[in-house]
Amino acid sequence: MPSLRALLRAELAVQWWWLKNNRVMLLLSFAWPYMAVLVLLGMGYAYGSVENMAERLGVDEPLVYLMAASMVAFAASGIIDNASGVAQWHRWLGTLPYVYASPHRFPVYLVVSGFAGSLFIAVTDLAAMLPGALLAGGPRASAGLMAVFAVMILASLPLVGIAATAALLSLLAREEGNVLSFLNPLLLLLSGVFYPVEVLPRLLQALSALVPVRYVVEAARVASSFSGGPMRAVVVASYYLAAMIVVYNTLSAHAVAALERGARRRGVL
Amino acid sequence: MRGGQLRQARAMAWLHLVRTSRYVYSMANWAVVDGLWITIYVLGALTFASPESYPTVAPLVFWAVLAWGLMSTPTWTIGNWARFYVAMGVFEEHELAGASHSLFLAMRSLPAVAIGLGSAAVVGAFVSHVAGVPVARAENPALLAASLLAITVMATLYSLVLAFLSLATRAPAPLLDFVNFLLFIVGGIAAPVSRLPHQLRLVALATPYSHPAELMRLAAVGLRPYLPAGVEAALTLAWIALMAAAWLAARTWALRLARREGVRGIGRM
Repeated sequence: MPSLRALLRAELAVQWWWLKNNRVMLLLSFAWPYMAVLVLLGMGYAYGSVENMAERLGVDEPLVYLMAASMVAFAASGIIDNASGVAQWHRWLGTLPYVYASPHRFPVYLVVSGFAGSLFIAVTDLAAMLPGALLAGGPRASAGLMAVFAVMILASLPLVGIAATAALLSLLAREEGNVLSFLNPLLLLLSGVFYPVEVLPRLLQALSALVPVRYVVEAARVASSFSGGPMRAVVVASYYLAAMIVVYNTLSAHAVAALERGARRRGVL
Repeated sequence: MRGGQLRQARAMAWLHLVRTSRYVYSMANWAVVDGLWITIYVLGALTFASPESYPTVAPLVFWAVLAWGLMSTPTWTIGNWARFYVAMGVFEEHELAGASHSLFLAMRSLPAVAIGLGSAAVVGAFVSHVAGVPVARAENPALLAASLLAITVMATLYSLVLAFLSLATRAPAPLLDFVNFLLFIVGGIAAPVSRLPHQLRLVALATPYSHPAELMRLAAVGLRPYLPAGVEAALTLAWIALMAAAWLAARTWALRLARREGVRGIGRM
């Protein structure tokens, strides 16, 4: 059986060749994270001020923070959508039985494929944002952005089990898309990506502490303030995320096994 | 010929509605997803404003972002459907049957409107709670409905342009859709034209969505448009005619290319 590394490499190659054969798509992928920054700045200048935003979020370099937050918004919990998207894509194309017959267990394939997709998007966003961060805040801001990227990759690991659950549930439900697609924006909403979490209702503030992306956003804030440094951002976030990796994946492992059995019984797989 | 087009339109609308009812959970899920994304940006924009200004700013931001939702949802429901349309082999089937590609794609605006209204309900409830003021109020419901309809028609025509460009370039329509983002900031959607810097006012007046958006703000919160309401209405109609011409040009180019070289797969994102 090919190793997990070989599977990951193959999935990354698929992503790479899509972009390599499609230059328009590559160029646009680089432009998108800046668009989100522009939208927020545009609205912000019209209705208030950047100083107000920096004070409420507790950041010293608002532009660098917006760049990091935009990268987080585009890529942080993408593993859920990517794993589901791959499963649905194979179902549409009729290639699902072939994937299922391949040597790796199906949930493993889903997770690796989802991870490769989200890693690829995150790398593209980082590559797009690095020159902007360098211009806006110098080498320190670029180092901060790379630290946020590292935390973001770490934060996708607690979501591995949830991603496989979402993909299998979507196949079982025979719906047209990811039945748990609301999770991606919900996790971002709870994380306070562009605003302080304190504006959310109390119940959502409490739930926010359980969301891995919240710690990526915290890392982005630490990296965008003079009081913290890139390494401090990584260290603080990694304690919380390590605990979440163990708890969330242990809990979802049973759900994944049960859903796979259910999918086989119903002839979905 | 005209009767044939009408029969086709009825059949296609019926098929899309059947599909929508079959995937009703997916549609509801989509509305929630859109609503959550819009809420994230609304809360992000409100972070720039002081909490004392929320009673006046929050409704303006809500309607601005709702207009953006109406502009961008068809990009996914119509524009991005070109990918599905090609991958499933439906393009060739329509080509052989002599059925209209544009009509088939345009009828996707029916689920788009349902999604737009559903997401507006989600955003309205959430932002009203956070801002402490009811944001989804209207002073002139008839004018509000007319302005939102105009935005929907423009968005449908623009999405058709994207769908055909997507066929020709093989880049997914949502990636091609950077114009919506730019127009949102400089095109008098994110903020009233009167609040933009002088140079940007001229840019906004020369773009399509600013005119129905000014009418929308007049109808919703009573904010006087930059130009007289009658002129804004006339310019709205003129832009709809221009966008229809752009759709016809994109369709002619993409179909000529597809018939000469065959249809090719559109990138995944």
